[in-house]
Amino acid sequence: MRKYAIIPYINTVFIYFLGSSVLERRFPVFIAAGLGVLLIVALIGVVTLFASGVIGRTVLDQFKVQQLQIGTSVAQQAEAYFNGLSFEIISLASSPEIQGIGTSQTPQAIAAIEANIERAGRQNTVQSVTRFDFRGRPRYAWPSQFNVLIEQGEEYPFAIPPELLEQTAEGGIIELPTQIYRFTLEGQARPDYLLITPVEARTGNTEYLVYELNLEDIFSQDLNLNEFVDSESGQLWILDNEGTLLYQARAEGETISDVREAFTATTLQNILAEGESVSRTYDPSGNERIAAIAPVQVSGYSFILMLSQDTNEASNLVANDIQLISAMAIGTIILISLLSLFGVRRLVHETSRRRAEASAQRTARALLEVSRALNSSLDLQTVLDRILIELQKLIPFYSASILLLNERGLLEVATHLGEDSEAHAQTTFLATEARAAREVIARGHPVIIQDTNNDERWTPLPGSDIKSWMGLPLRVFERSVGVLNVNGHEIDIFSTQDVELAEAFSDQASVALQNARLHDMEVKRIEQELTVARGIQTSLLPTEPPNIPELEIAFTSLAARQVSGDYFQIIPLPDRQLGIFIGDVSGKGMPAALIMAVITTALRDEINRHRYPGELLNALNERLLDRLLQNQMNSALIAALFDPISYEFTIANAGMVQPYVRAEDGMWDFVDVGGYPLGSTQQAHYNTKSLQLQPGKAMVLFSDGIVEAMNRRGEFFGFERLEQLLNKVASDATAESILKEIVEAVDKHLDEEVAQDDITVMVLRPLQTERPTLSPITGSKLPAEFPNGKELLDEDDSLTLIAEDEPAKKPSIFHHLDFSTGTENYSMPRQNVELFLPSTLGFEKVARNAAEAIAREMGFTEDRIDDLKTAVAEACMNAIEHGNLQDRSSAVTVLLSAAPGHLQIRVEDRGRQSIPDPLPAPGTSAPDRGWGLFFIQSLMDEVEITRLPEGGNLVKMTIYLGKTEGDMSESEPTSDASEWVDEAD
Amino acid sequence: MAKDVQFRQDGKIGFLDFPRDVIAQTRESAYAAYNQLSVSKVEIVAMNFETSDYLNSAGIGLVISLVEDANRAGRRVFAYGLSSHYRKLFSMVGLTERLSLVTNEQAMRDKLNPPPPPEEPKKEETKS
Repeated sequence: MRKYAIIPYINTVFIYFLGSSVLERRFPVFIAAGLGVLLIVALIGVVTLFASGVIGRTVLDQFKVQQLQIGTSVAQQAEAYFNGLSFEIISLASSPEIQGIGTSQTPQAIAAIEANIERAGRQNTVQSVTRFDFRGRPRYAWPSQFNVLIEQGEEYPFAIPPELLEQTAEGGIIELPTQIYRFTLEGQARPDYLLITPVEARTGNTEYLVYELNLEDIFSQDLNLNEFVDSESGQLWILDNEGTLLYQARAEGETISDVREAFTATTLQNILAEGESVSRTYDPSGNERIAAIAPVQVSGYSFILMLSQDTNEASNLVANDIQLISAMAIGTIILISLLSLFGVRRLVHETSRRRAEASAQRTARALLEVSRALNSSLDLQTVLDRILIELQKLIPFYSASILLLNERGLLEVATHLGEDSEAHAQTTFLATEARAAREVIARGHPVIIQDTNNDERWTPLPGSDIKSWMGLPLRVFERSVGVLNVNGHEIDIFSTQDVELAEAFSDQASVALQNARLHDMEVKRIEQELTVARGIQTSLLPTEPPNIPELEIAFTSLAARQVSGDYFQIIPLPDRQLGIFIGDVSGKGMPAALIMAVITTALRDEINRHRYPGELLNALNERLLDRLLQNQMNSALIAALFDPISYEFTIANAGMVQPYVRAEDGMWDFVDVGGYPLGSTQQAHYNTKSLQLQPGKAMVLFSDGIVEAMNRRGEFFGFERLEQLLNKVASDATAESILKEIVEAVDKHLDEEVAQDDITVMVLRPLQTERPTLSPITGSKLPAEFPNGKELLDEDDSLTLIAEDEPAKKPSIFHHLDFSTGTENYSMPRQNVELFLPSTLGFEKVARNAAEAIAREMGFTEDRIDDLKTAVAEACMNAIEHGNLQDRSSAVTVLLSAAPGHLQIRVEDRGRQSIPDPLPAPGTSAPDRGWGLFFIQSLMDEVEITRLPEGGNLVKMTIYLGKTEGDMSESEPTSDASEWVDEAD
Repeated sequence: MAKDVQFRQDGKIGFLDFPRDVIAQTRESAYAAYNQLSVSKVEIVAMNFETSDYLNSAGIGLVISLVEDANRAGRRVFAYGLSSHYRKLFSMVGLTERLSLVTNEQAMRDKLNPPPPPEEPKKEETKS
């Protein structure tokens, strides 16, 4: 890849990041990284505040809660201890040894007490056990020294509280609870505490069993309360319900008065009443302490347990915790920060990579779209314009233009886009101008001028404010043919990325330009070929309709492309007949035109052998089938044969639209004749349809381009419109005007839309012509069945027999009878009589009589006339019956040619059945068959039987004047007479 | 004018009177008439063409068929009333070998029943 001087793009910054290499990044990445660092710092601050504030407070509160929980727990342990003690004394009081009162039982009782104390391990916590009677007099006691006092009658150290004695002194069993009583001996600083439980003595009175408790040992040893005071300033205090200090742990130097401040009497009573632990702060000696106060309620007596600690110590503890937490948090944050920064670095790298990928993808997509856009047209100017439009989407520019080298080597502005259009009024640059652009062409590489004011290569463009410029070569076949100019409005506007992108773009543009030029060349070449082909095709098509007095012809052919697939021919034939053809080759353009030329050639050749349309199409299909199949083409073709004498049209159709015919009532209808297109199938067989079109009628032949002409709304012109149009045509409208109306109607329907298919129309309009009169045969013998011009045929056949009193007003079957002057319009020899007989048996008499009349005029003898009459009648009858199969629409042509010394008679049919060759002997198939030709050959002087190229049978007979009946025997038949044989046989 | 072949009988002679045009279309009526003739067990078939002025090959073929049938039945056939041209044609097709062409009915009858030869004048007897 080529390197260029890099001028930083204005939106580009450099980031030195964690010692990594210099990264060229855009602001968003840098901002993201900075914001990340700030976020981390903020997080540290927040966490620190959280630790010192929220967490600190929470930890202190948590200390209080924990202290309360400890206090409550200790209180509950104490309660459990005293309840267990009560259970032991009750159990002991219920024992038989204790319930007995006999003196003899005293040792057992004392032993039971001792055993019970030892089993429970109460030797230190229970100082003595004494059994009192219901009046409060001690009975016995444990240990022995107390029992000694009893036995010796000395004053006992404690007594049953008077309120109990008041209940039991009267005797009887009294329900009493087990309770702890405070008992203060005289001169003793601390009170004793007695656990007294009633005994149902066997005397029937309630007496007492008393444990004298050593609370200090209970609290210090059994409950081990000192364990709960593990801090330096921790203290534990136990007071009784009167506020008397019962126990204190690690409260050296402090007195009960120091802690009384922690709770007033009210608070104490409330605590005892509600049984709930509370937390209090107090300040016994300038040092604030935090205390948890919990009630201990046992056996009807309550103690208060208080755990306290110096607030400073607690705060210090919290502070230490905070410091630890903060240190951990900071450490964690630092670790997270380090990881985050590492992550950010990775993120920056990843983002950069993704940006680069995304940028590359965008560029690729943009170039792909550019490529599509540029290649969406092959028109050179369109491509050039699109190059600039697409470039603007990729690289915003002040202006841009394309200069192309012309044939003289000068640079020409091919297109321009931008704000300085006036500056590009100059369309051509001389060799001395546009040096920078010429350098691009010469080097074949881009040239960048970041500051046009300081580059000698730059030639200022008047009217333009171009500050920076980039020129990119446009290459066709590896040769620079032009320059893509990209102009900037500021200096240093083009980045490396822009240059690379523009270079990639210019490559795409070059490809599009190359394609467009190739297309341009190809189009010109094809246009030349098509022009030649069109010329050839035109030369094959008629330019002017033939001058036939009986038929007006108008035609037009409009090609959908320069070379049409439609074709038509009008071919003059012998006997002044006319072959009329319209075809449509599948496909368009050159291939269709070439096939059209082939078909036209074949058509002109085959018609010499097959005049009748059906046979002609069969021959053409057979001849062209392989070639058309090989080229996957076919051709529709309609063939019509017009006989100007009979006004008969014989038509066969190979896949063309059926022609339309105007009847005498002025209404148009299609002719039902059809078949497969030529080249479709070998099995195609085409039949001929005959119809008479007398003057006043008309026929329209056309290609499907007419009815399939589709406008921009998608509507076909269609048959219905065509029929409506034709039905409105005036009955006396010329062929030319009918054609004009059709074409104009289709044109209007298309509404400036281009026709999708070729359009070919031909209008045929029979005309009335002056005919020779029938005077020479006036008075001739007409068949008795048809006197005076009675109509012979149905109206549709349009063939009438002329009436003797209307000699020239209607076409006659006796045409061209002119022995005197002939007719200038006709090329027939003089003294000819041509008859067209309908193929109906009986009409042979017409020919017979005509022959008789002529022969008589010529001076033949009666015998010879009889021979002639029989021969003519037989020839005509065979033609009617076999040659035309009595098809009334097919005529039998009889030409009587009178010449000096002889009379020649030609009888011609359509050849539906052929005369067998050689002729079988008459009577071969049946005794009564096959005599017609036998008579002809026997009676005439010369007989010639011919199969015509177009398919008909011709029987030509000659009879000579002067020959007598006796001479007849000298004439040998050319063949044995025979019957007609069906051609199919 | 009748277009069909008519049949009439006179003793052993069955007459077939042909119409003006003897053509293919005449065949049906001709055979109908001939069937009558067969039923009547005539021995002589007389074809009368006196009113016919147009016989085409089909008509002549019809005549051939009738004559051949009559010959097979052992009937003798006469034809009369034909122009010289058609007699020529009859001759050409060989009909004259199978029928007798006469000019008219009387000629036929004469041929069937030849008039007795005129009596020769009696020769006078001579004495010796």
